[in-house]
Amino acid sequence: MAEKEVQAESIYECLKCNLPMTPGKVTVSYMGSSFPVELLKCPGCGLVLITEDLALGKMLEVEKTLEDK
Amino acid sequence: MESAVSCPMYEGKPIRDVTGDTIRPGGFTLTDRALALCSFAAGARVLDVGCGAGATVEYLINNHQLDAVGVDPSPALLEQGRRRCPGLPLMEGAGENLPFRDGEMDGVLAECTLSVMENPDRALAECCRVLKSGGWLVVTDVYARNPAGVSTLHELPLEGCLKGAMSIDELLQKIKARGFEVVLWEDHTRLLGELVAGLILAHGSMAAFWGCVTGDSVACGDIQNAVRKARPGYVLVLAKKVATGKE
Repeated sequence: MAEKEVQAESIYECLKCNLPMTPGKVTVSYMGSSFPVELLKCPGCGLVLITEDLALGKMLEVEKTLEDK
Repeated sequence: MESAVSCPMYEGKPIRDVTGDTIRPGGFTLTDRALALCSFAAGARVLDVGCGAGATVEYLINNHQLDAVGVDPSPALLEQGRRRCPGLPLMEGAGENLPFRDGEMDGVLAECTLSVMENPDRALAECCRVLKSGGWLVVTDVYARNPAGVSTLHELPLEGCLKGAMSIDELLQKIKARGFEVVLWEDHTRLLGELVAGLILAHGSMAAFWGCVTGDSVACGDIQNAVRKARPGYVLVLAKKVATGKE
């Protein structure tokens, strides 16, 4: 996962600002719980990138945990 | 199954990176909750059993003005605590053999530590011994929400709270059997879920976390199956030492 995220860093840029996405601190929330995580973020407008790998990987596992399933 | 992993989970970096020095779900959340319910007077003598690096002892002294002391069998964790805060009252010792006089304490806290003790019955008897009559016992711990999964957890080749988790009935029964009246118990499984979520975000997955903890020496499928079966939760128990009339 970490390797894919590093690869993503060199690939993605913000369409609005034309700036490369860089790792930055983001707070993600789900079902009333919040977690500080490092995600790719636009240094201009703050847009956060959540790749498919991330959404279907650890974020999905976190969601299932918090859903207590 | 394989032989137990020698380094206890709570001493390792993979979990400390997420929990910080409290090394338990919720950090000080349940400590504060328990102290609000117990209403200790300032300066009350309170023991933290299984204090680790002493984060809670420091917190009890600085934030709750208690005369707190900690005891833990891990020289590595105690040393970390002494380095962080020289002069912090931390003593080396086991919960099963507390280095304190009878009736010395107004309160005893065992936060996520009964489940890692070799003999929790003996530890509870010791907690009772060092408490004054009417003194408070505060236990927070992992428990098995499905009692049928307890035996599978006990067989895990790990050292840590998960392996020693009991059902809520067994935990409450043990506390009562050692001279306490259980005043309340509350489920705080949400805090355990948040800790697990933190571990997933930090390590990529629970499988990766278990790989880090065990050095890939244990099949993480065994651990995850045991967890799925036992459905671990987290509980706060407040109990009072029953007056014996001997003090």
